[in-house]
Amino acid sequence: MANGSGMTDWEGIVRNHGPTVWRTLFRLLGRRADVDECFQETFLSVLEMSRRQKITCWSALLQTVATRKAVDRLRRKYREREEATEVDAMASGMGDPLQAAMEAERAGLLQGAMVKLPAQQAQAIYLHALSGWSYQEIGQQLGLSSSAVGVAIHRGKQRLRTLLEDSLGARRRGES
Amino acid sequence: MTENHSDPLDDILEAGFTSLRDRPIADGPPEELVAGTLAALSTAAERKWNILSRVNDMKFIARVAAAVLVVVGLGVLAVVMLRSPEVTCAEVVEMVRNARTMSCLVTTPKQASMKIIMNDRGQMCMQGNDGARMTWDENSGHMVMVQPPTKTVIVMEMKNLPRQADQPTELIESFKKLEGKSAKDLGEAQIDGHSAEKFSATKDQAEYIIWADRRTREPIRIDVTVKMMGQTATVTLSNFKFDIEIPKNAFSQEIPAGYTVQRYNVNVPDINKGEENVVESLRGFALRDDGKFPAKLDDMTEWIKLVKIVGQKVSDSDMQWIIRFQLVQHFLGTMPKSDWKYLGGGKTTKDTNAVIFWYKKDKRYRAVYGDLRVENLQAAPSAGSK
Repeated sequence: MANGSGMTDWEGIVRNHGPTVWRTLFRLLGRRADVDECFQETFLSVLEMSRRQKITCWSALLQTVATRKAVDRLRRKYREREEATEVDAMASGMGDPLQAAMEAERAGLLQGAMVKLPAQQAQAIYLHALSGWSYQEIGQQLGLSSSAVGVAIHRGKQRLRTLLEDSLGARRRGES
Repeated sequence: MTENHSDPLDDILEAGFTSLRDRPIADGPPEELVAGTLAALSTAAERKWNILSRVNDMKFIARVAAAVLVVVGLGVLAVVMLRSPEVTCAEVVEMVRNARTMSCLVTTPKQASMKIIMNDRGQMCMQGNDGARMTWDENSGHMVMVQPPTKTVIVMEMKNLPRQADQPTELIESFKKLEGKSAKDLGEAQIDGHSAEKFSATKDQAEYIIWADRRTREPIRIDVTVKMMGQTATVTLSNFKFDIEIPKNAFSQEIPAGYTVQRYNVNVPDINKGEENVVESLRGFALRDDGKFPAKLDDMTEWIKLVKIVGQKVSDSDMQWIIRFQLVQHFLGTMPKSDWKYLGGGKTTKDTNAVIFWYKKDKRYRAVYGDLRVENLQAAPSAGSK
């Protein structure tokens, strides 16, 4: 995406693709402060990438990078034992509070397990489950074959099941 | 791919994904975030390089790698001379060379700090905090080390030193490819009070960890872990300053009055001839130790004991032999551990049919025997092979 002078039209890119990047990040992170920071980092990373390679699909690349940034951030936050499931009052306050709390708990349970997956596996799962990408689309962005993406997602979900089982088991033991 | 949706764990998983998918999303991005992002992009776009390309442009890392070769001379010299109580030059075991004008602080494994100034004409000056000073001219291969504590100057003439363009270390090529698969972006990290982007690259015999300022993209710190003299050492480079004014006499190689001068003339062996360097190093060892081979090929301890010091000075041939030992370390470092094995411990040149060293090259095996001949092998020999 270049302007008339051959320079990359960053304003056009941010204006056109910013909302998608924003939604991708918000869905995964849920906190405005995290989203803001990752938003800017996503575009700066893509700028650096654009110096090294020709970008054919800005939207796909931006979503991929945004997902990676969000995964990295979640992993860091969990490592730092922060409350990663905490979401913005603005977001969580919408709708039925009880329903919101239940959904936050489910999301938190899932994300607590997701951060224990290898980053690329988590990225593939998020892109597939949340952004609705096909294995082929994910493979194109991550430099993997479709079958490799399928295997990664399958293995990731298997691992998630184990992690969830452990997590739920621990909860039950804690409650008894 | 089939999934069992009746499994409660799958239901929980799906519910989790649904919760994330349906998570209420605030409207956005807000205009101030867009404006801030555009401003950051504008600043970043004006810079013609990122940290890695900057490093490449400066040939900085390339020269760090090239310096390893020179360090061979210095490091070996230091180790050898340390055996002599009159001379101490341990502070100059490591050095770094760089292109254009740049200065940085180099901290060695022994916590010694040295300031290094370099220009793009292959000249470098390294100054320790005890006043020890070393200047190096890549073009002439002329190195002068001035050591005030002992009033000694060591002058080393290195012949056949490969030019920058064809420096032997693959590290140079590695770093040309840093932006490709060999470099990893490790994400955000704190270093020396800065928020930095951390990169790592491992190639052949060295590992590089680079912290770059997230805003300016300048390097904040680079840790280079290299194998030197059979040991692994990490050199830390920090306090980078680029395109600085360099004092006129910074690279002067004049010898101060009243200093004792020791001169060495060294023909630097071809680092690309790894096999030949192994054979000749082992031959040198056997010649110096009644036909015996060393217990280890990657540990200098045993080797250095065989260096003779005559009149406080190491002979040129011994110096050259030890430099070749270092080039062997480079050769070994370019291969996976599983692709070479040294079997010479306890063997002598009389064990003519014993394999004392083998390595794998292009899907074939090359073996060095006790009589130092080299042959092709069909498969890797076992440890006890004769």
